[in-house]
Amino acid sequence: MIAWIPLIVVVAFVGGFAVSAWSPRFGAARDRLALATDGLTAAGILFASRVLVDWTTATVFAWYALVLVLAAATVGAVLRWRTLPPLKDPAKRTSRTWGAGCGLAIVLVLVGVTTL
Amino acid sequence: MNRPTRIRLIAAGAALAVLAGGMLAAPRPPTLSTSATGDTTLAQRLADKAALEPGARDTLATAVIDADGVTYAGLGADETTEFEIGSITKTFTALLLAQAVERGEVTLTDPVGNYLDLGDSAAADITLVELSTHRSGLPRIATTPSALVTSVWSSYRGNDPYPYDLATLQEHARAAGLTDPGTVAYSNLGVALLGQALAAAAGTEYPALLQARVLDPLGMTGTSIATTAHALPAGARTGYTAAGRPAAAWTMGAYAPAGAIRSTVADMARYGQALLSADPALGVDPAAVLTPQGPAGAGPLIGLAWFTQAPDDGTATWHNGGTGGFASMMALDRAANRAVIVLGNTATSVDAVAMQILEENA
Repeated sequence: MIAWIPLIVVVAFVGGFAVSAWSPRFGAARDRLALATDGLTAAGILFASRVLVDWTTATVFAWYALVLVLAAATVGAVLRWRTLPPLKDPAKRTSRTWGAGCGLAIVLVLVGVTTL
Repeated sequence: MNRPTRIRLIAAGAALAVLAGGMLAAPRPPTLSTSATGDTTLAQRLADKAALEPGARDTLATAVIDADGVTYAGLGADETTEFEIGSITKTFTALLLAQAVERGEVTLTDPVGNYLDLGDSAAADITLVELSTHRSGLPRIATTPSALVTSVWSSYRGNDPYPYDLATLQEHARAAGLTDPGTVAYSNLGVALLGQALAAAAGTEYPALLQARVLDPLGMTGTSIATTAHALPAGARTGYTAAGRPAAAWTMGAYAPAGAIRSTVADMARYGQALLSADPALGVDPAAVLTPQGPAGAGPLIGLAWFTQAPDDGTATWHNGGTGGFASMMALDRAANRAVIVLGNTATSVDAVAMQILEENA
């Protein structure tokens, strides 16, 4: 069961981006910052999963399925982009920007560490 | 071009970029080679049994020793292909112990503190036989915080988890607590200490001792031990984790006596034949290492490093091995004068493969 946890985490992040990009209401991105953050996080986590998930011949098809979901989510994100404000609440610009920056920095470190 | 069309084109382009990147970056776990070498019947049996244990496979090689001689087979490898044999190295360290006793350099009951700088720690009083039979009470690996972090990180990365010199190994031993001394608890730390103690008693380094007393006399010219990554020959073979990720070579530094030998099935067959036939080149009667010692009781029967199956499970005397990217198993049926060696270049166990081949040859 423990061996499946990394794969479940990746599915959650990639699936979350798909919901963020395509969902009409529940879980939909509120603004461009959220959409971009979700997309970059999902891509980073998926890339890092190359060495975090047990990809054997039995499970490697899951990689291709996740790539398909990420591609579909990317289409949704591009189509939705124009309809979203840069920030839903400009009063929270600083905190949102910091939050997004820290999140992306963590993903960047993860990608860097896994590609060392 | 109107705006919706342009956006759709951008979306399609982005999706294609993601798909292309996903294909290029896709993990590519190895699959078992279909290129058979040696005896075709044995190679087919090897292929049939490879799926007994889950995990990635790439290449496998085996040798079966019986009254007719040695039969080799391989999948993507042959009898001269090099593999890390991992913990089967411990049986070589045990042989060095038996030889050192025979030469009068040490006794089985000497405290390891006589040969290594272990101060007044609990580890100093552990005897050499306790180290070889895993009855020392030492933990499996060092338990200092930095060693634990290194171990976790290395297992994640598939790297050598023992990049330590002798001084650090001794630090690990001094810091270790003993748990239930006298009961069998497998310890890499313990066998590493044993190998270093034997080298100290002989006034040499462990690799030189191994070469002079085992590899040269047995003519194991395809077998080597490098204790640092720099000492490995360029292009030294590496393997894959059980999940199919590339793994680094293990050289193990001062822990080398517990698992750093690289060998071939041809050389391991030579070793197996020597053990079965009590070849004088071993320098001792192999019964000294193979025959279980100490109280039987619950738990495995164990000689000097060699395990013997409980009577209900079979009659094999065996040792297996595993590194970040390799797995190995050597099993002897001493009564029937048979042995099987299986080596693989993924960390997926080959224990069941070897045991089944041994039993089928009965």
